[in-house]
Amino acid sequence: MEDPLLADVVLETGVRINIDRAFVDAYSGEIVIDVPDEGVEQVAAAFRRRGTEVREMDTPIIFDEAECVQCGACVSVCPVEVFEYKNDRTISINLKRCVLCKTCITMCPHGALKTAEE
Amino acid sequence: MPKSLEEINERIRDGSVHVVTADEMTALVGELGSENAAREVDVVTTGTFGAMCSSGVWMNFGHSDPPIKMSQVWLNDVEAYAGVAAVDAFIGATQLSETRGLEYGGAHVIEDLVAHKEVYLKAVGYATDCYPRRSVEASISIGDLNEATMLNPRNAYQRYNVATNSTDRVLYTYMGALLPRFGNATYSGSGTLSPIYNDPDYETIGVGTRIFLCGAQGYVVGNGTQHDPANSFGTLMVCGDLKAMSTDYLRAAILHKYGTSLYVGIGVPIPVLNEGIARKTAISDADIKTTVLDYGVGRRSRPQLKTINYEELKSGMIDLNGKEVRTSSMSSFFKAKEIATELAARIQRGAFELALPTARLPQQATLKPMKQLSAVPLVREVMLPSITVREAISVQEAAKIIIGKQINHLPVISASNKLIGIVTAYDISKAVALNKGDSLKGIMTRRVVTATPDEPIDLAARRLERHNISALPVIDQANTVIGIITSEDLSKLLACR
Repeated sequence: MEDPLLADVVLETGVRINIDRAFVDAYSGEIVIDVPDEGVEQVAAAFRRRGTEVREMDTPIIFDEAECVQCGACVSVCPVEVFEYKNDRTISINLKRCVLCKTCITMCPHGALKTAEE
Repeated sequence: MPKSLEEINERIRDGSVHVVTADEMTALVGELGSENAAREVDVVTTGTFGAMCSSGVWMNFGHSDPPIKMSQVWLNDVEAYAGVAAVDAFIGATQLSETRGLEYGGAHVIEDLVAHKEVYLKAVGYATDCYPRRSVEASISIGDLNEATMLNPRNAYQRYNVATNSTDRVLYTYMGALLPRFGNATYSGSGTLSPIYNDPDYETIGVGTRIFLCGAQGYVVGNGTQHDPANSFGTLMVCGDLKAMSTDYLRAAILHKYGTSLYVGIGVPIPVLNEGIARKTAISDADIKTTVLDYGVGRRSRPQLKTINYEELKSGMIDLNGKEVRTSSMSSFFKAKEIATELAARIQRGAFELALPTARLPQQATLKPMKQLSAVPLVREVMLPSITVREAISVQEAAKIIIGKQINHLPVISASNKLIGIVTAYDISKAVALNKGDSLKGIMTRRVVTATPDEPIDLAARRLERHNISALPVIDQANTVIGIITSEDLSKLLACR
């Protein structure tokens, strides 16, 4: 973890990566990054070559429609506005924006939102 | 012109009844005027679907052989109240499981029963000559119960306050997670579809009014607890047969780090007997105001920040002191509308007739606070004088003070006597071990968690718990240290209460 892996990958690939979240502690580091579609393969390969475990998150949050009661509690806690009320007061979900802060998961009173691991 | 209920029920029976949902009525009255609307419309249906913590079910399990008089009973490790006869018990929505804590509660037992799942029953009792058995266990489902009567002491709040949070930390409440520094605001209530708001003078909603309750036919028992009609905080006590209910309209909920609750679906049909009733059912989201409260203050009376209406809340954004705050609803308007629509459909096909109250609900009520036997002590009554030091002193000097005065916490103050940090005995030990002896500047904690002299000690105790610390310097409004309160002092005190 001594080398600036992220900087090296960006310099090598030229892909404009956006950092959504970063966790670094004494033992490990984990970053959640937003990569433009065209650069995903290149960036993943560049990280893997440097010994980093890469996980592609197509579905950061799984939505269980059967549990959802369309209350919208999730709407006001999402930092990137994944959730929105539609005209009929049902909730629309745009998972592309998700940065995996997981606040919606704890906010949902009905357990309709889970991470892919759970 | 006024219609009678019997006429309306006759139209329900012959299929000619004209029924609309309360939001449709608002538009109709706007279009035709209340007099014409009263002529046209026979029934207005209202609906609501949100967290109703004051809910529960009375059950009768039938007698065991030999018989037992239950003194304590658990369903899936959630305790129900059995202090009534031998095999009657009441399970409440917010009672938590003894083994699963905040993840499973009475509400979940109730939903599991409605879903026809098996529930594990365990009961103990003291033996008597007529009830010689001491314990019993069984795996039961709803069909095994003699009766399962939902009886909710306080449901269908006319409206509710808006919750927001002025503090620096997330607060976990029955209104969901409240983000710091007014990061969000949550509200609850179906606005234009609100049952009581559509009949604010309790002309048709009263004892015995037939309602839609979680998919079954239920009844209004009377006013709910904490009924406060004069302030537009009316509530209903409702009952219904659990065996006829559906999980489409009854759902257990977990409010993170708060507890469990039951989302109850209620629909109340309002017979349009006269023009006055028609006019009142025209109420819209914009007509219904409520207050934004700061839940950052852990007192019964919370600061009122602003008056706002449900239309503004539903816009998704409100203005609080110049800041744009995002809102979301904890109740589901979509499901409230679904309920009002379903109730209208049942009335239309003759499956639901209306009933006028046998007794009116009170329009006056005084909401009293709890009369407490002992006042909660304030921090000022319990705090001790605090030794303070300057940041320039050495670790060695701080260590001497800690040992000499036999204390564990040393607030650090500036030249102008303002609190700027704190060091603990542990910080000093660590500094000695790492050889950082020069001054306290490098080792003190700068973001000090403090208490104010006039707050109840319960709040101070909660703050110590939340931050996982053992003392709070007490500061006045000028940030001067006027005392200190430690978890040791608090536990001695709380042990005596």
